Amino acid sequence: MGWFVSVEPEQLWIMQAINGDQAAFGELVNVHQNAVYNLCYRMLGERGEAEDAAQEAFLRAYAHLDRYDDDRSFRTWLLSIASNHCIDRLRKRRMTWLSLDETLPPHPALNSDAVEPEEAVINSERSATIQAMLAELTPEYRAAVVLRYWYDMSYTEIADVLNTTESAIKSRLFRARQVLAEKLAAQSKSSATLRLAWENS
Amino acid sequence: MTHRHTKHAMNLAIDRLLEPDERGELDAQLDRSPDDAHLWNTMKRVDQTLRTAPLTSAPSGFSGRLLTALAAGRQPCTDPRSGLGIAVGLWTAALIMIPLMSAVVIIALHALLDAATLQALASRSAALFQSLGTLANVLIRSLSQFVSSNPAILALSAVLLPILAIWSWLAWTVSMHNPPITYRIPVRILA
Repeated sequence: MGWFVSVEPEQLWIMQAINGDQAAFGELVNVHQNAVYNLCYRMLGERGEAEDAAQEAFLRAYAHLDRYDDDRSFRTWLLSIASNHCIDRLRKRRMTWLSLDETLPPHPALNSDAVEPEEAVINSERSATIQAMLAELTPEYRAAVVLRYWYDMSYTEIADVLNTTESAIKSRLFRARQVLAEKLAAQSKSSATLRLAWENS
Repeated sequence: MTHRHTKHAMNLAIDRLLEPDERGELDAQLDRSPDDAHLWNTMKRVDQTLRTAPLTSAPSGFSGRLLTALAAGRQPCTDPRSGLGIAVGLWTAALIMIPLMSAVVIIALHALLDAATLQALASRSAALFQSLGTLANVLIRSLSQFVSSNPAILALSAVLLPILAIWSWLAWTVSMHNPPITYRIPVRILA
């Protein structure tokens, strides 16, 4: 009678990928690509750069799979690599000037086949509002907010991903919400003033 | 309830981590203070906006492109600040700095303990400062002569320098705080 050890598919793929099986790593990519890409997009705010960053995060994960501690969730480990990479990119971005020759990415409404252009525009406006809100935050605050809202992580999990303390995360989240609330209040105030001026004219 | 305590309680309430009795205290505070109530409503709006934000899916073909890159042997970009590079850099710096600092300390100790060296050092320093003073004096005199013979230069500098300073400050502020504005024009393409 043989002994059977139950192994989750993900654990099996990780073990195979550590041994150089790229197809097994492909399975891991398929499972986690949306989570990693979304994190990069929310952090960086630009689809092309988000794809580059997500690809880089997966390449780093593949190169350092032997360092993965299986007591930790694989998704958390991947998100940790991706968020730290995005924070680094954002810090570097502060020091670079955008080239005037650089072309803007096409608007999603123009290349989307799945949704009506009007709907795509509304979605895009909403997405732009969210990205504009996130852009007000420093990279570290932004990472905490993204992990809290898009991944529903607890303070402890966020601290684990960003390699910091729970109290630091609590403080970052609190401060980030206040910054966003102040911006939103200021926006509402200026819109109300404009509306009043329009009604009086 | 202090203002700081109220804000802390608001954040905990948003994360649903506030105890029922503390929640009662917060509600009472919000009833008392219209400013706190306004902040609470704005924070709830922020929370609601972020909570309902959708997860953006990876673009189609993402995993294919990644696996192609991996099969082609693409390696992740190395971070120059990490790994062996930083260790070698630190060791090199230490190897250069330790003998240099030791030499400086030995020379300084020698100079401080020997009266003749200390005196020579003091007289040379005094001579150096005197030379620097003379140089500065000559420069200022030449500059003032030039400005007095060309009064337009002074007026131009007085106007241009503040403008340049304000322009630099504005450019820095705008580049740091304002994301680039992209105007989107919805277009329906007729088949």
